[in-house]
Amino acid sequence: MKILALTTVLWLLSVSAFAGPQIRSFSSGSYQQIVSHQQQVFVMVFWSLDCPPCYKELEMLGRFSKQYPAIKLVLVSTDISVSKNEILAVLTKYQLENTESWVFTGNSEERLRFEIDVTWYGELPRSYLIKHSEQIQVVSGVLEEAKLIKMLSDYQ
Amino acid sequence: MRKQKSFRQLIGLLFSAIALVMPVQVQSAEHKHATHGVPIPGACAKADTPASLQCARGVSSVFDSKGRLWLAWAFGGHVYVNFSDDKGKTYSSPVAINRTPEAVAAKAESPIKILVDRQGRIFISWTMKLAKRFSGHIRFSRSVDGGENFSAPLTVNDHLEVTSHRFQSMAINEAGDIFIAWLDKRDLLAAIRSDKPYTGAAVYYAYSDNHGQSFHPNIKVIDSSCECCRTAMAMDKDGLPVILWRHVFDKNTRDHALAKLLANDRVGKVRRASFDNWQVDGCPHHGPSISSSDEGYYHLTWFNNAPERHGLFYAYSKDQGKTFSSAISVGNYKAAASHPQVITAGETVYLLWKEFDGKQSSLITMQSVDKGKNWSEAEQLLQTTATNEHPLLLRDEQRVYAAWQRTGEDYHLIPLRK
Repeated sequence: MKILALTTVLWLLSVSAFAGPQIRSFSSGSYQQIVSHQQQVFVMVFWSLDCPPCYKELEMLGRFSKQYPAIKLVLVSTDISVSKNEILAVLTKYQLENTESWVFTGNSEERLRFEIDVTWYGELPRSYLIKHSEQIQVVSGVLEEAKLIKMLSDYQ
Repeated sequence: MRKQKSFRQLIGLLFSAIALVMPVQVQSAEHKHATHGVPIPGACAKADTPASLQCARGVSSVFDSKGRLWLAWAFGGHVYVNFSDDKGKTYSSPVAINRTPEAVAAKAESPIKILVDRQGRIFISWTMKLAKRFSGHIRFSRSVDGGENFSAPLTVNDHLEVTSHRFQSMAINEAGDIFIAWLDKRDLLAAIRSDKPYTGAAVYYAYSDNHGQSFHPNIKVIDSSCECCRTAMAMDKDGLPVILWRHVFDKNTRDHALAKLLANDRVGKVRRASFDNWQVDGCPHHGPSISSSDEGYYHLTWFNNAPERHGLFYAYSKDQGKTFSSAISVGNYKAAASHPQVITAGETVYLLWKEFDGKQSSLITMQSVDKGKNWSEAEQLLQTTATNEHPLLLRDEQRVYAAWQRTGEDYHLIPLRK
């Protein structure tokens, strides 16, 4: 029994080390890594601290993720060279701190964008509906909740 | 019974484990964040790196009437100026403009601006970042002794609340009057306070008629510009500038608009300059460029990403923006053709932009010898794998040059075919 308890504690230690809010570093290859692990339709949203309209979308996504917790949402900040704390503070404000989150890293935002979508010129926010690694819908600018729900219902 | 006790013990252990783990996790997260945030890789990021053009941000350059190339750029909390007398082969030691360090906001989309008048006075403008997000002041300094000394920076915007006054452009006429235009959120702030709706920012400008000693009160051009694309300005043949910016038409159509000044303190009619109908409630971070020819034709280039009409475009206007030629597409949309620039020299018009193939950025140019009617094939000038800024066009008395800043490499000044 003691062994079982100890094993469980160790397991918990390892799990909870990854369970809290954290922002992962998005580098070359990250996009493929993210999309290839998803079997279901999911929503991937690119945003930046430097983009006023992005906050409107984050606010909507905060509400949306409470209402539809089953829909997978991945947030990616394109802010190279900002503190992850700053990003986490914004996500926390919109109750998105437990949503899978990434931040661009390295020295070329352009290179990372090119891996994601060659027709994306960096305008933000930029939202993708992705199914089986394929970008089936893309929206530049603030995505409205009704539109997101419609997009999802069309492709579920 | 024994099983129940063990279960309780197990639950207790689980909570203790979580309690133990949580603070550790926060600590490690903080530690990680403290080391994050390196602006530039390699040598440029080291704390003891001296100010150098190779590590500079927001680089701009201009030729004076004697053919000296002047550069202005940001490094750390300072704006620096240096020059080259051999067309960019060697450079003078940089001179810091602001003695007191400040948060110089110099990104590729909002570089430092530099102009030199006929008498050799040097004028510099930049944006100083303030404590709040999206906020800034437009700063200005001049040298009247050929770059030996610079005046203490002054703030050009006369609204001094902490909000956005950013993305400035600057031009000078033959009389030496200096014009600076920028995007300004004072009206948005007022609208929020009185609970009224307001879209975007506003375009404001100010001018100096005492060679940059001071500026007249700010003048509003129009409300509801897009809020994060750099403005552009060109000097018309009558010595009054034309300002070009990305505007918000209707609810969210982010096309371009221009306004010509009718006097130093009088704005002409604001006219729509692009018709791509990009509906986007977002930030393109991708401003236009304008040049006015000797005979007063306006040449414009810009980016839009509407589903129907996207990529880079070029058009000209013979009548100060009342009508335009049909916009032509420029560059390879699938190769990220971006950040276009335009300049005129006599009847020749030059376009410059950059493209990206996934590994390398290329600098591309094309030219028209008949005022923008017919264009040469696009020609690649240079490639790089280095991080780079948006390219610029400039000219001396003889010819036009492309200039490009690439981090960690020499500043590139490339003479273009006449």
